[in-house]
Amino acid sequence: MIPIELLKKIRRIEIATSRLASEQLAGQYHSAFKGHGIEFEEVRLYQPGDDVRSIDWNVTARAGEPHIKIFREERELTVMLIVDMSASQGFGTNEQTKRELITEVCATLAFSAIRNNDKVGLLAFSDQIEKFVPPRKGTQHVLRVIRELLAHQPVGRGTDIAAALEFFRHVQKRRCTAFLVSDFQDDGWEQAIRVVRRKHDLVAIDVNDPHEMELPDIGLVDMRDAETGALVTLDTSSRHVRAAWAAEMAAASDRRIGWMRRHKIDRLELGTGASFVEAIRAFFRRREARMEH
Amino acid sequence: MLMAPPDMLWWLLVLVPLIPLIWWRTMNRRRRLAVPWSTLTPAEGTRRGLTARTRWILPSLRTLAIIMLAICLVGPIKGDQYTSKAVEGVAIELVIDRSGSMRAMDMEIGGRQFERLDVVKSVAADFVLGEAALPGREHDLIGLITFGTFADSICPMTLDYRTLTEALEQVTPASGEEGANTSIGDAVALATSRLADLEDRHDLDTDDIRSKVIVLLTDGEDTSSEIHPLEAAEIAEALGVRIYTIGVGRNGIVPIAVEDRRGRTHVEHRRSHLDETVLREMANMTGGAFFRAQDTQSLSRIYAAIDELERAEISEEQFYRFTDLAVAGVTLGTWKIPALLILPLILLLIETVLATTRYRTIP
Repeated sequence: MIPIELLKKIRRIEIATSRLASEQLAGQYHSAFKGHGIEFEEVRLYQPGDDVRSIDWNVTARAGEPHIKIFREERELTVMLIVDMSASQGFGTNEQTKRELITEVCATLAFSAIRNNDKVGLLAFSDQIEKFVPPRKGTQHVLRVIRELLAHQPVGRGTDIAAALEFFRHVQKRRCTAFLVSDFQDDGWEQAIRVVRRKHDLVAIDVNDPHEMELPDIGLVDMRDAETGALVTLDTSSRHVRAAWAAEMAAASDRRIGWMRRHKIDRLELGTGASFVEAIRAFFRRREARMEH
Repeated sequence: MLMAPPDMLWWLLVLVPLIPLIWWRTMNRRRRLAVPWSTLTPAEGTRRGLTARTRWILPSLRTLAIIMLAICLVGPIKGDQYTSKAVEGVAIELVIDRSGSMRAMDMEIGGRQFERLDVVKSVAADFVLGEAALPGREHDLIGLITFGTFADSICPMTLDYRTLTEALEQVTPASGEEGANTSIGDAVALATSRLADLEDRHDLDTDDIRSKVIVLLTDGEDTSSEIHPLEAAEIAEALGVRIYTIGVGRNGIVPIAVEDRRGRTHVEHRRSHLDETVLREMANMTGGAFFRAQDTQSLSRIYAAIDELERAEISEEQFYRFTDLAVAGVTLGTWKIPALLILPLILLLIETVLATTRYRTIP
């Protein structure tokens, strides 16, 4: 049984994000994620008006009558949401936690995909595989995905992106569009991403919180690492401490951005508390522009 | 000497376990409430801030406070050893005759003739302050009354012997009407009344007075008293006052320096009569003694005898005065140590102030 509270939440997310998908992002998703290539459908008799370039000469020679090949745009996409559910996602200082933000973003993407008659699947992970929902079509399925996003209690606390991508490669043999939603608090994921990229269209969605990047000035704070459980007392009133922290975080972020840019990986950065619709729309537009080249 | 009452030591058992508790609470990093943060990787190996690194000050302060509190509860006491000379003093009223006849020069010191009063004065001073033969008085109240025709209290009962001897120094033989008569009875009565009034004096610790003594020095017989000497002796006896009477000088014709109207001094020979029977009777009635002093030596001996008789009883007693260090401050040399109890309170105050300001920690 699904608790009533959860149903309400799912409903709320559904209303908000499906509207986003159908109104504000309508069309743009379609353009950004066009089919990759075209697919052969059938061979039929040449009819006047057909493009002579599409005549299949082998069949024509064998049959003695001109035939042409009919191609169809490969439209039916599969969208995989690879979602980081590690403990660090429970962090959030700006109206919502990162996990809440992720849920909304994923729901929006899922509804956008469904509107385009695409399949949507979910792979939730922490330092282990938390949940795998195979890609399927239909609004019911999207609601299932949203429910898992909302209600799944992660077993692991840490983050292991490489393991998740490894699992993903094994379960998803066909080419698909994968959204890797994480805060990338992990090492050694670069190689895994490169491997996945060979076959799939991978989009990295980097989720963060403003106060992760810069510490607020609130005096002494006992801080516990959500993933490792380590306790550190920091004097956030000290300018040096804050500067060192910001520098460290910025350096890590810069490393990530630089690496993804070098390897031409689509990257979308989202912060808690800010509207993600504009960011997604801008991202779609960028992608669309690149696809046309 | 520092010590602790043994029955209070169990307080240590109550408070001392609090100390590991405090440290356990601060050191226990796993169960401490903390703000969950997505990552603490940036804090690794880098600065945590001076305040964060010196946070052990707070538990240290609290530990110190608890230790001190425990010490206070145990009740440290500082025992000061006192060798109490639980002295029972003697109240002595010197009653000195200064009538004209005291000018008689029949006392000898080193072959020279001196006035009776001068000799009496110097020996009395020796009696009070101490001199070769006389040990001096130490814990006795001594007062001074002089008399001629009238009795006057020159110096009240006091332990301040310097003032007393100064007053004694200024006693001169009376002349004229004042020196014409000798009021032994009045003087003794006045002395008795002074001694009897001692209990009412608040500036003196009169509980320690063992006995009350009048030392009467005279060279004559009572001539003008309103109260007869024997009557005065009776009063004294009733009030528990002993009278030592000293008769000074020779009986018979004695040389007296007389100043005539023009201010010249010449020696006259006059009759001097000492009423020995009355003086002896007075002494006997009150349990004192009568002495006869004809020269300095004998006077000195007499004082020595009185001194012997009325020596203050010194019972040496050792005792400790304990000061509870927890509540009472102690002066140690030039350092004034405040009450021990204040220290933990100050420490706790500092701890609280620091914990709520500089070291305020979230959560």
